[in-house]
Amino acid sequence: MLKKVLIVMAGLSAATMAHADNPTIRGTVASKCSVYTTTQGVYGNPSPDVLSTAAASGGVQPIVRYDVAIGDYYYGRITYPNSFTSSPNLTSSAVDWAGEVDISQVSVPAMSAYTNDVVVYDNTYQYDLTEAGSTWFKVSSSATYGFNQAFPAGSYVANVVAECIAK
Amino acid sequence: MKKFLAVVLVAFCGPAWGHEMSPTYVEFNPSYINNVLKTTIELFNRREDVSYYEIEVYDKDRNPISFVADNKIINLDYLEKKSIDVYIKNTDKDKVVYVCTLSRFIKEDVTKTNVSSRICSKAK
Amino acid sequence: MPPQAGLSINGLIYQYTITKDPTTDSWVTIQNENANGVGYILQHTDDWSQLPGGTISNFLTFGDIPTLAMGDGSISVTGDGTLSDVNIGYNFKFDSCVVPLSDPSCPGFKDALYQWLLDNGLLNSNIDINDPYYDQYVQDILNTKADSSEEEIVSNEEPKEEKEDKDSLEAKLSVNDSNMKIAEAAKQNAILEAFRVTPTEFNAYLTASIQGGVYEDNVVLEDSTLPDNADVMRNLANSTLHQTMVRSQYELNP
Repeated sequence: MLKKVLIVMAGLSAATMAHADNPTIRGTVASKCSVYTTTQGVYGNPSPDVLSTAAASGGVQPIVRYDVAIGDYYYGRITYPNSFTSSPNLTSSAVDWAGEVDISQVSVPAMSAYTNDVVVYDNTYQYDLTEAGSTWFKVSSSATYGFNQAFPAGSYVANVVAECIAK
Repeated sequence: MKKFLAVVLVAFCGPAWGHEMSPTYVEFNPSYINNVLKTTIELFNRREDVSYYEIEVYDKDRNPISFVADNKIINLDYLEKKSIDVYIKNTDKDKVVYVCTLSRFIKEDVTKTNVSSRICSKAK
Repeated sequence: MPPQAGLSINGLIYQYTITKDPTTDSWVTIQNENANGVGYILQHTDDWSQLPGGTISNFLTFGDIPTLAMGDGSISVTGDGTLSDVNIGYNFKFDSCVVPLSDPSCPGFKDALYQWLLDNGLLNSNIDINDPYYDQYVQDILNTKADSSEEEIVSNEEPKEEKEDKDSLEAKLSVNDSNMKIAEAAKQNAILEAFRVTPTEFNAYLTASIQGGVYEDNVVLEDSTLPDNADVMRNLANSTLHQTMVRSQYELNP
């Protein structure tokens, strides 16, 4: 009798264990902007009074990548440097800064039209990120020291600011 | 069970260091403190060269607005993700437009031209 | 393409630069011919119409296409524009189970193994069931089994007598047959009444006495005086050397 009872209970528990919920994996796609630095910039010193990121000057242009999950939710704003964050003591503050931001690569052809609608003010370029995907921006920067003055020896560092602003 | 071997030819991507923040639109809700509103942002650090991020809150003219968080400068290791609560006064609710995070470098770690990244979410 | 069976393509990476007039229409198409038929097995088009040129970098994924079906690939421009710095790569996937014998976890492994053993003469497929030796061998085995089963039957009979005794004890103590009695109130009362009466067999426990007593100490120490140890007196005379040594550490001029 006891054996029969045990067998029936085992059967019931097996039936219970056989019934299992289907596990689900949930996820949502939301608008998101990610900023990546794909290339760090380096200043070349083609002449004693010039520091430049141009490849011809021995420099490296910094490249920033924006990844947007859903288009038309963000502005991309990139500011090229107009001062050194660290440098040797400069005798004159007359450092002439120049720079430019341009599209380097796109993952969708329509992104090449971002240059048509770019807004430029001071040393900032603002792009309307209307397409989902990845856009690479290259930044060029140059600093010229006074009039025929040579930059003192030492380490020079400047900052590029890449912003992603929600609309 | 099948075994698969995937071979990828020509990688165009090199190492890329990223800064991510969500959500795009933040919502300030009442907190447990009277007359104080709270929102939560998620920050993900994919920058090996950055370990600190500063939280900023601005109005529409990019004027800073006072706020409170556990720390205004957050230490976030590479590939670390954190949820951060940001508190503002109830009276500032209509002024707040942007909640941003900006990457920060330690002085002695800066050896070449860096890219600072700032991501701003908009207040609903 | 490598001719490996089991090799398929499931992704395409491409990069190119197009130089064009922003006011003109242009399309760039990347495609692979169908090696087993007509037309193209893979085709992707980027629309550059009314857009300035630039550099594009993209990665496409699609369902597995066997490499043997992939024909020659090409990239072309329709409309205005010139291409430069073109790089195209394919993402390959290899299924090792295209040869089932490569892994025991592959489907069809057992059948493939069986066929391989058969092809290589490693299986004895010529068993003659009419072989007399074969029959005798089988019979011997059967006989052995029959003998052992008789012994088991004999050994199984012995415990039955013990079982009967146990049954009687079990029958007395079990309540299996008395379930209905337990359930009925009247019969329960009768059982309780029976419990109230102390069985006579328990009287032995009530009247038993256990022999006890006192354990006296066997070892007794008698009080007496302890004499001085004469050997110590002798050794005390030698302690002057020890005393000298101890005193020597306090001498200013040893």
